[in-house]
Amino acid sequence: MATILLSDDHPFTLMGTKAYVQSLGHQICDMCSNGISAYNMILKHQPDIALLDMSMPGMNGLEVLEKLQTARLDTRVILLTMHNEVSIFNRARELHVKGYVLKEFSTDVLEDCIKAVLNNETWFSPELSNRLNINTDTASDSLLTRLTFAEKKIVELIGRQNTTKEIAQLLFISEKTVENHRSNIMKKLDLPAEKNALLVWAIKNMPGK
Amino acid sequence: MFFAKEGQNAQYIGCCRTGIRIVATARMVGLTKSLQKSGLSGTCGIGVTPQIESTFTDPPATSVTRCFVRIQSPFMTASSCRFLLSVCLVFACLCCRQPKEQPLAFSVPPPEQLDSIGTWLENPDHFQDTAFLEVFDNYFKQQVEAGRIDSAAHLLCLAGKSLCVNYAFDSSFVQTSIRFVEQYGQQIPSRYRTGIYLNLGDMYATVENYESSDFYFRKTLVSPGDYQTALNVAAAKSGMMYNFQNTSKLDSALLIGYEALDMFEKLGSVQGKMAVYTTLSGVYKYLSDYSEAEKLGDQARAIALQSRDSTNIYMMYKDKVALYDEMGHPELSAWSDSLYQFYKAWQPKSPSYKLDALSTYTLKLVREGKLPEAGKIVREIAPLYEVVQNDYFSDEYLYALAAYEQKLHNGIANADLYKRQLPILAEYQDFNRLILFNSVLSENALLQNDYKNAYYYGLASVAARDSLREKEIRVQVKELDKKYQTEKKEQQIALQQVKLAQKNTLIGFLLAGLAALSLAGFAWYLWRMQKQAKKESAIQQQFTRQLLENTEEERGRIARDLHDSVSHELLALKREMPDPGATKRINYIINDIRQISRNLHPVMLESIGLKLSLETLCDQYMEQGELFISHDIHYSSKLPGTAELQLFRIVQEAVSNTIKYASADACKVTLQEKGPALLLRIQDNGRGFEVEKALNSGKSFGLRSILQRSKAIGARADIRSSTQGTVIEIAIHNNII
Repeated sequence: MATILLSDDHPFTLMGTKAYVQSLGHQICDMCSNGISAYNMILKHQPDIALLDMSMPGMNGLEVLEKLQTARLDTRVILLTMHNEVSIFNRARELHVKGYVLKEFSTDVLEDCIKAVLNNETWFSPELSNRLNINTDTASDSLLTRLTFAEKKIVELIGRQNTTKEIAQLLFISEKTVENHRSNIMKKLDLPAEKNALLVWAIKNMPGK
Repeated sequence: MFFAKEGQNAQYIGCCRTGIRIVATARMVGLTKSLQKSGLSGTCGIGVTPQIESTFTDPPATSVTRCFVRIQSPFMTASSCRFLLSVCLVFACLCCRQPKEQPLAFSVPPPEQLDSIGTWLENPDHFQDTAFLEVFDNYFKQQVEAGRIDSAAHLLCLAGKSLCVNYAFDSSFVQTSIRFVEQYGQQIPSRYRTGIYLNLGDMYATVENYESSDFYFRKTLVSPGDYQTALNVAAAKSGMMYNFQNTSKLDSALLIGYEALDMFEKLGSVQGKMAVYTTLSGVYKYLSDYSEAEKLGDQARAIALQSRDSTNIYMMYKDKVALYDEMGHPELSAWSDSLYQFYKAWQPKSPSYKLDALSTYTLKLVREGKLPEAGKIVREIAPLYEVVQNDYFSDEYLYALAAYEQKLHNGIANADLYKRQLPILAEYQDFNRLILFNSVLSENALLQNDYKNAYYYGLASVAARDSLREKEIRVQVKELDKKYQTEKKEQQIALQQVKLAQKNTLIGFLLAGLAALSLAGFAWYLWRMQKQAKKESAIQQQFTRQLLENTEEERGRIARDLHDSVSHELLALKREMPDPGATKRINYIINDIRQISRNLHPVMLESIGLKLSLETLCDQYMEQGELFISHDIHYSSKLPGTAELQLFRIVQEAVSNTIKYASADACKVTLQEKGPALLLRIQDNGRGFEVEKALNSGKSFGLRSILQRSKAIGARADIRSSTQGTVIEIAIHNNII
């Protein structure tokens, strides 16, 4: 049982969310249709949780979040948004957002999120981390799919018999970063910690160039 | 026959052809000076210059303004002697055609062949033969009747010369000449025609018919086509000079004289030059321009000395002595001595020279007070005077005698000698001798107790003294005037030079001003052009920026609409869909729309910030497996949203170019703050391209848009590319926008 403020410029979404939250047994202290009134109402009611849409007239969700941050209120903010954008998510995290829920999947996960936030935990839509794989093909070698693009690139360069130093120069990164990538790759590929294990594997598995 | 001159201190004019003395007192020193210069500098050609020609158009000289002529006696006078001398000289060179110098314009023809009668007629001495004219007449008629016109013309010339040299005027000969030249003038060679005209002019001058003389002289003035004709023309000019002298047209005399001099000079006729010099000297002497007279006289003497012609040299010495006598020159005595010494060395047969030379020497002795010696010589030469009688040279004797007798105070032997001279001296304004003769006569009358005459001659002497004083003053005034004119001219020249300098300075200033003005104008024009270009570029930049902003705004709006409205609607639709297959498809659609929207416009750049947006952009490229991108973004400053957006777009553009064309292994995006400047750098290690060529190809939209966007936000873009890769650098001043 918590007091929750809702803000969304889409009335249908607002009504839907209100009904859902109330069904969970929480109290709706106020509902707003733009960022400015949302911010003012939060200051006024100081609810436990503010459930904010990202795109709103006046101020968007991030801006409200930023303002609240400086106002040092206890109100915890959950962003409810269509923006499956890592940049937005990262910014929101910088501003200590407690929950980040993608609207597409909100019905399933909003309850979990509110619960977690009320327990002073953070909760973010799992789809945020999955998005990368949405359009990537999964047909290729099973081991290779474990690697990110960057890691694949490094394996490729290793397969072309480049040294760590050369790889660092080629990719405009530091040798240390290359080393980090190497150890990650070896872990992901379950390779033994032998000196030439990765090289041998790379030559064997990377499409010849 | 006539004569001019009497008494001593002869004021005869050099080789005055008719022995006529001029009394005019024309003053024209300045004019003659300048003429002298132009004449001597040889600017007058053999032909006639326009300036000179104008003097020919003067009305024919009407005789006797203030000049007169004396036809006195059948004997030779000093002037006629001089004239004879100079005419002989001129004719000598005309006939002999052996000038010492080579003529400039014409070659000297060989002497013409003559038959015995022609040769006889050619010798002027034979004119004294009473049969001369008869011989000529017969032979001439014979030639004409035989149709040998040229030969006849030649005879006419020769005989005419003989007449001229002897100062003869024979009216029947003149008529013959005129008739002949009228009838055959056009068919005979120009050297004969001009020769006949020249003779006619000379003969008329002999009888003072200057109008007719001038008429024929002018007919002689043709444009010469051969040497003989040229000599005739020069001689005619000489003759015209005498005529002008005798009609008091001294300026014209000088003009034509210098022309004649110029012609003789060009024809190489030294004797002709000498004759002209002598005459010119006489003109200047008459004009009381003694220095000029002396100069020209000296030139004439130099020629005479060179030609070793004793008669001439003697006459030149005599000229000099006469000039110095008139001038009262301190060297008079020395020159008198020189004359005497020359005579002694020469020893001519003619008693005239002896009389003259000894008279001059006597005068010198009298001046030096050596009366006994003077008396001795006077007594010695007295018989000579009886022989020579009224010859020109006797003047000098009378002068010496008068001076001697005056000093003796013993009365005079023959008063008539002096009395006869008085009117002549008065006419010639020979005041020195007038004083001398009058005082001698007065003293004589006193001795004879003839008080009336003593008083009369005394008065005349005083009057002459006054006149002399007056003349001396005139000369002095003239000299002062000359000096003054010279100084005035010098001052004028100085003034003109100053004016010229001023003018030059002014012109210089004007030119400098003009140059400065045009330079300033040019600078102003450049400045304006630059300003205009700047303005245009500013407008262009403004326009580009506006266009970019508008485009971005539009794209942003479309992206927002797609994302916010369409996605929300789809979301609502999805909730109402019970079918999980449809839900999944709707999810795909929502994802696609999100992708499109994101590509249209960076999501919430202002809220997220440039740093995060750029990092995310790079990460996205990497995550989508398009390119290995690393980034190093340091950005805490606040550029305006539009500038941040453009920087973001530039990175997008650059990276997508790398992905599309570079075949690069990797790319790196860095954003650094260096003081007030912000440096964005996108580097790849692809195969590179030729920047200039790509920009000029018109296809490289991506590159152009990078440059345009940089310009729009006031940033400086630098694109470098090689086979090692491409570097795009954007520098922007933090505070610019």
